[in-house]
Amino acid sequence: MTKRVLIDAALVVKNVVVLRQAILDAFEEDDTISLDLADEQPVDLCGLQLIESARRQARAVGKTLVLERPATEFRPVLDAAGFLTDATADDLQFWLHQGPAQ
Amino acid sequence: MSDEAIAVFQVEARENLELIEQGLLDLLDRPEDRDLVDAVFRGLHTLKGSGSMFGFDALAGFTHHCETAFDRVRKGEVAATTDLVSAVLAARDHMRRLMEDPTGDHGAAGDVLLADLERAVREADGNAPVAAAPVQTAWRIRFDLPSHAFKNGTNPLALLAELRDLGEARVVADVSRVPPLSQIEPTDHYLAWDVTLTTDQGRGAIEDVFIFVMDEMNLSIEALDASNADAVVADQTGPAEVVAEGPSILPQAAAPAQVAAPVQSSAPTAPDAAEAGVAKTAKPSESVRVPADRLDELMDRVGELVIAQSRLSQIANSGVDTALRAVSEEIERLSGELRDTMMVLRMVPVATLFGRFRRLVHDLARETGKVIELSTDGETTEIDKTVIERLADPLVHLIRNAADHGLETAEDRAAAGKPATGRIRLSAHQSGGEVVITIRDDGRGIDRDRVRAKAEAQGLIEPGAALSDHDLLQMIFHPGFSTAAAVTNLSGRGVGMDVVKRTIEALRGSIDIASRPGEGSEVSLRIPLTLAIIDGLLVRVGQGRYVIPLGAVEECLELSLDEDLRSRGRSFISLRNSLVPYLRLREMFETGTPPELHQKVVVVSTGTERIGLVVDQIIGDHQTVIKSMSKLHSGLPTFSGATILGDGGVALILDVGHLVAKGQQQEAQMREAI
Repeated sequence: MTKRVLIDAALVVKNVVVLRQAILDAFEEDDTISLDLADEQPVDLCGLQLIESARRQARAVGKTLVLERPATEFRPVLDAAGFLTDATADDLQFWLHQGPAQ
Repeated sequence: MSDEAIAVFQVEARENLELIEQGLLDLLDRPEDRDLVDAVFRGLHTLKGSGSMFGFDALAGFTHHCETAFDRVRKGEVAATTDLVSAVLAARDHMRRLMEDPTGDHGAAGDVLLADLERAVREADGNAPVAAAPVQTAWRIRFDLPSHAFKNGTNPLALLAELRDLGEARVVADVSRVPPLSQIEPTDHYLAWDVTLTTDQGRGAIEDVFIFVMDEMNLSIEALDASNADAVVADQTGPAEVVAEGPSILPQAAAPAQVAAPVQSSAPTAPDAAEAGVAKTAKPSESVRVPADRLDELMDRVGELVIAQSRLSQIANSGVDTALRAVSEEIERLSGELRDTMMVLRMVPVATLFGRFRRLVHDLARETGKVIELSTDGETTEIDKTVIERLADPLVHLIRNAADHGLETAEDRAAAGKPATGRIRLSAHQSGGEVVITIRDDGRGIDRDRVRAKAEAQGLIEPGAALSDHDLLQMIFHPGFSTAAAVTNLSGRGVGMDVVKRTIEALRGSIDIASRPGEGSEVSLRIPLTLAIIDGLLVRVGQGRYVIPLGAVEECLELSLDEDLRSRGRSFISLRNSLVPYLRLREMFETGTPPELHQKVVVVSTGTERIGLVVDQIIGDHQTVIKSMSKLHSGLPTFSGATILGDGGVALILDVGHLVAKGQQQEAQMREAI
């Protein structure tokens, strides 16, 4: 089963405390968590860091975290921050759904 | 953004603008000085960045244009010509306007200034020093930010964007320290970056990107190409020494660089100018900024404490309770120390005042077409901050007068056998409880004939009236008096010297002027160190008690009734072979009381002049908290204020300057009569 977490607030520093708890709660409920990032919501580095942290959480507890849709809207921020410069296949798959499906 | 944060920004921006101005003025004298160029550039960069951060968009935008133009000086593409520096100075004034009045409509004025700046840069283009061809150097920059970076609004993306502006950058985020969700403090910052930047800019430009966050971050900048790095070091500002790799904040992704000069903000590794600059920026301040009004409030409290302590002393001394007396003495000592500490807190060096006049003289020289050199002396002399603030305007008047009236044009100076450069010297020194500030010029001096003619024309003196040189020069302090042949923007409107005199006297100071035809003039201001609390000599005249500022007291003598009677009609005492005029305060104040058997003469002076003040009794010294006179009494020139005594009574504070002038006047009349 997949637990879908809708993130319809801005993925920015002022919201990360609430969003962290929402994602942590989802980890309690299912083995696969899908983050549904709403369109046209701003994102900042703190938000990206939170998603990265969620990926680490998934690895740590042996669960799966995916994005519902490719983070195309986040691409400029990901590029500017250098998140994708030396990206692994796993990174590209996670953020942009590029490469062989898992 | 809170009002407090904006107020703090404005305070810091004002200081930054001062530093930019000082740097630019220094640059006029030393246009080749790279450290100065870098310092000004950094100032502009800081102002732009902080302006933008605090929502002063017009300021940030305008400063950005100036920074871009000045960057060409920094890169050695254009020379720091006088015109260019002057254009940046004018732009700096505009920045100040944009900072003080961010909502005002300053766009058109700004456009004109930017056009001037652009023209100055264009003209300076041909005067560029021979600069080495830009050398592209690869730098490896690694940095992280403090954990609270997100919370305090630091935007790492802006830093990365600035690095990209410098050249071709390859940015790699290091997310290895981001913890899992269950362990993360979500608003803390865990990221780091490894950037490879290829640029023709030096280390200083890279460091400037981090100027706001340098204090708390880890930053390592390494040149990846040793030969180019040396070239950049020579041409730019980077440290020349080769040092070992600094503390790594990232896993080694590549082979260690050949040249590694890590920049650790807290510990500069080389006594290099650029590093020194960084250290200056990064060094945590050891001072605390306190609003001036809080300091004034504290001063008021100390004043009240001194008065209360004085009452306590009086009560303790009138009784026999030794324990109370001991406590009273302890409180007296402590309040005295507190007062002294408070006074030190309020003292600021006159350098803060003198610094402003360099710019004034620069502008005056440009306006008048004269060559003027300002020199200063005694800038470390300290004076109460309130006094400093109130001295600024009078000094501006005096310096303008010196530049406009006093100094001749280069041609006239050459004809008079003088060097083309006119000199204005501003000096300060402490003399007892006063600071003496002198403004001296080597110009033409005051034209006595013209002063006399003007005074006669204005009806101030009778035609042909005999007048001492001193009195004649005093004419220039009359309202509306000006000997300037032409009214200029600078002076000659006759609204200067009388205002200057009034302001100085309101500070309980005095002004004196000396002038030699063809050699120049000298105006001396004697200003009390403080306006808040003074040590005074408490005296009694009739039933009233009065305070004489102790700093003005030279000595006290006894005046027997016989001596008093003998000298009646002359009112002189012989003091070590010189005659000193004296004033009988009992008569001046019309006390209606008979003279005491043993009256006292308190000899007071204001610099060169002195007189005796005859009082009935000297009560003793008294820490005097000065209170201003009421509006009703403020016109009384004999008194400069009032104070509350320990028993709750009021004593008036004598205005020594006024009394000395009165005594001298009396002396002159007596001499004439003789």
